[in-house]
Amino acid sequence: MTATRTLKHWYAVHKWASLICTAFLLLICVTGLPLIFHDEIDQWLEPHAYASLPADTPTASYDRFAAEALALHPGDVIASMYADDDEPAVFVLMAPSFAAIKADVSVMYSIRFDARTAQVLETTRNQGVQHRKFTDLMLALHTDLFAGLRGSLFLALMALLFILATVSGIVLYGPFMKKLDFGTIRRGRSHRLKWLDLHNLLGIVTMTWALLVGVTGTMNELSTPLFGLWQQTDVKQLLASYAGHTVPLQHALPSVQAALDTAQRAVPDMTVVSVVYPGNPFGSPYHYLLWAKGSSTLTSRLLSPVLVDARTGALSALVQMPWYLRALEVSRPLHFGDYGGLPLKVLWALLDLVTIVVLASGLVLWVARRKAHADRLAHLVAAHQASGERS
Amino acid sequence: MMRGSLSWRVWRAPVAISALTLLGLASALWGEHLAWKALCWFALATPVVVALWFAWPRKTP
Repeated sequence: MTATRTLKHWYAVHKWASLICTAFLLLICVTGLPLIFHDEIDQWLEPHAYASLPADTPTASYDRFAAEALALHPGDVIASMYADDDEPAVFVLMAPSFAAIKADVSVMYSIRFDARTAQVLETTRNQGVQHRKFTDLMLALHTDLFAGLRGSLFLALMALLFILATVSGIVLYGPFMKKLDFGTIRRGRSHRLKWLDLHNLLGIVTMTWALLVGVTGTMNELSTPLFGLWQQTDVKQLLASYAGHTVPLQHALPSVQAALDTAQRAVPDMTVVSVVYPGNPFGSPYHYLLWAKGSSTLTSRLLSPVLVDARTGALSALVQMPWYLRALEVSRPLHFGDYGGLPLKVLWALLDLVTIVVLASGLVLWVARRKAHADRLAHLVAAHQASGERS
Repeated sequence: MMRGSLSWRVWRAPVAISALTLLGLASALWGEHLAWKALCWFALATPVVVALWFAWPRKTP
């Protein structure tokens, strides 16, 4: 195959991969912009006020959160609890039953407690879809188009096409720039050339960031199947020895605070940040599943599971996460850009805006090329008709 | 020789920007001190500054 033919094939790959994914990628980039600043936006739109207490006030017992939550909604079950990363709050997630969660995860609602006083601050029960925050709507559009797993898988496919478009764009950049200096924008000539140069320049300077965000975005879209794979393999194997055991009822469980303390002693260099109740479809039927994280920027993103027996309250296992879930955890900060303070968020937003211009300029070029082709065809037809009339 | 120098001319700037981008992405993730974060901001600002520098509208001669 000659070099020209190879380039034509790469051009076709670039054109079609881009055309198929551009509309969805534009949506992802636009909805991704507010998500970069979701903490700031949430705090601005719905500020949370907390009692002014000394900074070293300890967190209340998790048994108190559990008792308060069950007293507030008797008959419902606690699905999980977690401590907020940024605010002195503990969230208790509840649902009518675990079977209801299995059928529809959206039946879960949350109660926000002051972590120090165990005072109920807010509950989302009966608020339904109306209470969805602006950033929740953006997140749903960004991750699954309100279509659940099918939406996630579809957007993962679009992200793969974006990666293909970016790689093919890099391949085409070399031959295209043979006679041009880096950064050349031919402003004095046609609009199409100016847009083409702009498209190439912005695409090549952001290629590494765009590839990284594309790859990590694809991984994030696959998080549900990846966790499902883990549950069907490692977790199933881990729980095999419990087959035939009765599943403990929620009112007969040992203290959740004691389970948390047991887990904390097992991982002294980490902090236990959440507990999934026995019976929750996202946990174990026979254990409290506690998630612990490290203290550095990187290790705070790597969660480690600890299992505590739900009948005896004894430590059952420190579970090793498989490589693909570790990769998923590392991919998250690299997709969100939330690990380097506000300046990194601003840079992430600017790179997102540049990507929007790359996508839009690609569309402009495609439309211009089609228009030029149509004009050329019309010119040829007109010339042919004129010559026919003369003869 | 000519081919090699041509490739270098075309790719040196994109490769340098790419390397700085990777350095920036990694430094804030692995480094704990403010200096690492500052390196991250500086390195990741490079593609943005380069894009703005060359793409900024100018008067054509």
